[in-house]
Amino acid sequence: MTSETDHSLGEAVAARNERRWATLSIVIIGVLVGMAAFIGIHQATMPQGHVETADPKTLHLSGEFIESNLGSAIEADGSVTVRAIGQQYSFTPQCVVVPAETPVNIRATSADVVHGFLIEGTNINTMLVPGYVSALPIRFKAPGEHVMPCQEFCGIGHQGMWGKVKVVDKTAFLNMTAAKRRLSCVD
Amino acid sequence: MLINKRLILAHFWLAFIVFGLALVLGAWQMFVRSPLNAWHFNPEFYYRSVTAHGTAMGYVFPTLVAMGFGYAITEASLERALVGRRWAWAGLLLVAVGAVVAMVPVSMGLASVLYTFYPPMVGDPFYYIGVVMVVVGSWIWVALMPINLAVWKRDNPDKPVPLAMFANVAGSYLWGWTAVGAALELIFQIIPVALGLTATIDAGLARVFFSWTLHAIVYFWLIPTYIAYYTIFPRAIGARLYSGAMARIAISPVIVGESTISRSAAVISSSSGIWSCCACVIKSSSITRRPAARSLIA
Repeated sequence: MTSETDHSLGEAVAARNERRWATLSIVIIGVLVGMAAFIGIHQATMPQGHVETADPKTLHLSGEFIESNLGSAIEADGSVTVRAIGQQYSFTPQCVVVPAETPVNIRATSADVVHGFLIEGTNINTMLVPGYVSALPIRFKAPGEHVMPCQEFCGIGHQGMWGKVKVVDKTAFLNMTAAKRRLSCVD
Repeated sequence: MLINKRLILAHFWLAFIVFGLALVLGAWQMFVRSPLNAWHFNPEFYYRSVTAHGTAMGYVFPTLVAMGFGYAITEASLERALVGRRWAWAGLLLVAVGAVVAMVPVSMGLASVLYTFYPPMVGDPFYYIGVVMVVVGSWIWVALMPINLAVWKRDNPDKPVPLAMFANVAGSYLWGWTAVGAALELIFQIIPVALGLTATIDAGLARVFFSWTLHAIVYFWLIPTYIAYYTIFPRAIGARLYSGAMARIAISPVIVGESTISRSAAVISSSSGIWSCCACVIKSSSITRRPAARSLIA
């Protein structure tokens, strides 16, 4: 037989549980918000901070993405800028060469449709949107090779669109730049 | 208490027929990409299949389930017949016709663009028009949910809104708002180009529009599951929801978080929502005597 005592006891238990779970939920939300903020500030998971455009219709005629300007180039401050374009169904340069232990700035865009730009084993993962420049900073720790597949559907030949990144020793890279201004793996 | 059983079952039947077809395509896609079929890969058929599979699984199936479930929840929780029954049938018809209109060009290989569209790639205009019809059909449902709530509220001014209907209407607001992004992209950017009326698309703007829909669409699919977890599930295991207020508090941030296009906010709000949901059900099993707790759906 249920009695009034049982009911009021149940009420009290329910109210206590409600408070506990509410507190726990708020703590969880607080931790998750804190984690998101920490990751955003301390790891490079920030989206590109500014919009830069590049007209895909004149990409090959003028501006920084003309063919002779694609590839890796050393800057006055010792950093390396890599310029690349994606088009159905390849990257130019197909194989990017970069030095290890050096700040590298990747600047890439698309000449036709949306492509993906992902360097396996690194934090580089973005889209190449025609009309816009994707700019990403990176520092490769050690020499080695990384595959660079297009990871956004770009048409019937999408699954065959693969590039490569070859990370070489810094001295070897500097020797290469002595002979040529823009570098790719074939130089 | 379900009055319009035929309407509700029609949604579920159509949903699961589409689901069955998409399952076959999905299995075939796995097969052709597996080593069992390594020597012969035909991307033409593969991307055709992926587009059909994605459109069916992303737009048609979950939309029909959410609509049918929403109508069932309305009648069961408000204990009265659905208002706007003819409109509901018209919505179903739009979704069904839209699905066919979209699938014909895809099957013919004229729109292998995937369900995420990827402009400036452009396929046959009828593919996009079909998808827009599916979305517009679902908007009829979006309108009917708050209308039904308002009509019930007018007749029952002193009663609190049943939890299932609260979440159901919240879900309809979520989808109504979320679908606007993809609709803008289709109507103002892609379809004019597909029809040859304009020649260029701002691909960056298209990405912005699509991301408006992109993440929240998943939560539109999940709302029926949440409703089941909060209302049907506790009853099925013989427990009771210990706090209707907590459940409402848990659902609200999911809706708000999802509608703000912020992915991290969305993940945080929905994880807290799910967590509180588990908490409600688990804890409720120990409090079966509470007289204030009552079955929330029937």
